[in-house]
Amino acid sequence: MLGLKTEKRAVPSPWVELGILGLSVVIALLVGAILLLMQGFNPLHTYSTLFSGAFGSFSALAKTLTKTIPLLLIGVGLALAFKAKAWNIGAPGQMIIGAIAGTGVALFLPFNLPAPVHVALMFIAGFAAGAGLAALCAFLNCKIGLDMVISTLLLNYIVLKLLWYLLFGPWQAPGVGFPYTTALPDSLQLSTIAETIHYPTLIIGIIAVILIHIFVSRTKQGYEIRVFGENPKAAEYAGISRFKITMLVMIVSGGLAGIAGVGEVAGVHHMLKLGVDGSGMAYVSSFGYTAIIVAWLGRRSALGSALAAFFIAGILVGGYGLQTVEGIPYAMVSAILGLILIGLTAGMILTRYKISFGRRRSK
Amino acid sequence: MIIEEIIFVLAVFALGLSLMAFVDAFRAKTQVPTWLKRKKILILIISLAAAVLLASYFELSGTKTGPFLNMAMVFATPLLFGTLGEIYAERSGVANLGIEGMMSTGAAAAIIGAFAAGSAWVGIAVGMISGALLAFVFAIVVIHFRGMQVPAGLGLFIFGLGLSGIIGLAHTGEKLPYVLPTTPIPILKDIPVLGDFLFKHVPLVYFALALVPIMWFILFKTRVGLIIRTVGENPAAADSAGINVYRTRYLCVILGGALAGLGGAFISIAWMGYWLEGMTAGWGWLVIALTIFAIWNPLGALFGSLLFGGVHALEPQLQHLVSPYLLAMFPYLVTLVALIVLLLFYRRLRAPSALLEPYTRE
Repeated sequence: MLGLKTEKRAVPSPWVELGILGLSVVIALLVGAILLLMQGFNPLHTYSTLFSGAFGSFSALAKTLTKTIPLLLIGVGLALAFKAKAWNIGAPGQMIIGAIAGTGVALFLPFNLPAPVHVALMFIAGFAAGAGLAALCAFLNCKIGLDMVISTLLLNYIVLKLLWYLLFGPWQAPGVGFPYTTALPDSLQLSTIAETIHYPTLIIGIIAVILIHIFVSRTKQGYEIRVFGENPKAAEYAGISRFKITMLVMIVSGGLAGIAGVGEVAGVHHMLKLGVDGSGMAYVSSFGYTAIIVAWLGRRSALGSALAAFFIAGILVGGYGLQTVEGIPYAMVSAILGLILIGLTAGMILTRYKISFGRRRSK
Repeated sequence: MIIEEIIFVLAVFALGLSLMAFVDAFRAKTQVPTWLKRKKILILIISLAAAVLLASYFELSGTKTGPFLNMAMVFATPLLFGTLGEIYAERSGVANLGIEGMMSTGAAAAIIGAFAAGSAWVGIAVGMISGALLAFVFAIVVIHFRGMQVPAGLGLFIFGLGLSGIIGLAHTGEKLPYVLPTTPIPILKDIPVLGDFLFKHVPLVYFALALVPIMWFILFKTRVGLIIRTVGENPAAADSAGINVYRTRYLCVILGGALAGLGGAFISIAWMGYWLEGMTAGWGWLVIALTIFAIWNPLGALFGSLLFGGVHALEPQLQHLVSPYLLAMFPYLVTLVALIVLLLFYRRLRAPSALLEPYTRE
């Protein structure tokens, strides 16, 4: 039988890793092209429209940068969590709960604050809410062994329904039948450059990237996270606390997702509304899910995730343009993103093994 | 009808008893502290109280127990299909988190197949095949390429939802003219309450119910089941005993995909009768949770999916009490709480040892 022969590599090769990234994207685009052909669209034309819609003009770039902000914040956090093998799939929920907390602070604070303090408080509330939700899952995981994929995911749906409840119930703007709150006062809306880029959130994101990069590569805890992620059991024998690591990475990733939620409310929509998590087209297109791909495409490193966030944001913006202009379903974007993730997972083997085709020795 | 309520109370009571038997059955294999034995009385009292409460609530609100249980069974069916399949996959050592994607694609593919062939049954077969194909791709990635199962499953989830959105677009919201006939089973259908509950359904529901004992028997009482469980517990030992680890895992994962696709097809064809983007609404993730809740046992899958089908069926009854949006939280919230309670009882559930571990002969 023809089979794969594998040989372990001593050190993962960075060139191979880059090759896998490129290959995964190319394969995903190729399969996407087949799907497009089957639906009767011209793939070449579609892709060129997609990329020019994302990176082709100044306004396109501004849109892409705007969408980069939440992806960057969440993706960098998830990269850290995934590095420690903490499967935080709950970013959509953490983002929404952060948005809810931020809006709550913006609209319903019983006393007046100077605007900068008030805005800062919104971000702090968003961070606390997202981090709290994630910490709950980390706690349940470490103390009673509840699988974190399950708890974070179920909370996504629970928080989403909470958002629906608030927007169709107590928080709905008076006098309108639509699911959104009253607009934030002007003083609490984030200032922007190029009309859409709410740079205060972007600055928080860039600071987060730098801090996490330094933390992972330069500090003892960062080293422990890397060791733990490589081999949790051995790390625990070496005296690294699973509880501490899981708690830490979940608080950071959940909190950053919460901040991303506040950023969308204060910087983009200026109100809390459905689809505040970017899931306007379909639930799966929430930034929280897309950021999973950002983290993997960024090789679970902070700097890599920042680059990946920009690239993926481009696909989102381009895909949105395709839907409105060419009538190509936005689901195409989800399909391509999912394929990229599958391809990356399949390609990981090449970083650890050399592969050659040959006859497998018979038993 | 007082008679109906009494039978209903007894039925829930019996369900509580079977839960206890279930707990007992597993006590031999897990180390449950002795204090738990005393809690048996507590479980009994709680389930009885819950039954009486529910029944008296129905009595007050004028809800008919029979139709309620009938809906519960319909809602439970897609969960049951998915969970049974995922149990086999995880028992062989592969956790496929892409159930939601396969269900969603299954639902869309089934509608397309049904429209194209003019038959609901063909649609259901197409749904199953599409689920199996997606699972096959996933299996290649995690078995031969030894990819990590969690991200691969997430990729399948996102891809599956996208794929269903593309292929289903042409038939969005279009009512399917071909329906599965409801075929009540003669004689049995006339039993009060139970007849409504179990015996007035489309054939697929009977198929799901029949699968439970069959899949339980295969998994625990036959050589095939022993092979599957060994592969999931200790693949190296299975390999040296001459068992083909890869083939076993492939077959289990593909079976899981086919059943997830069938669950999706059930939602679109048998239950809703049309397709909408995102109509599986997280039920695939409930399946993953139920697999744990069932402690990887097909009998537990029946219990779990009925519980959550019941919770979902209860929602319209409670709408005048609680906001419908908060009610929509219920299935997810109940799943989460139920898992927490179960884990508090057991301290540690024994998942298949080799779950998430790719196997390689080294």
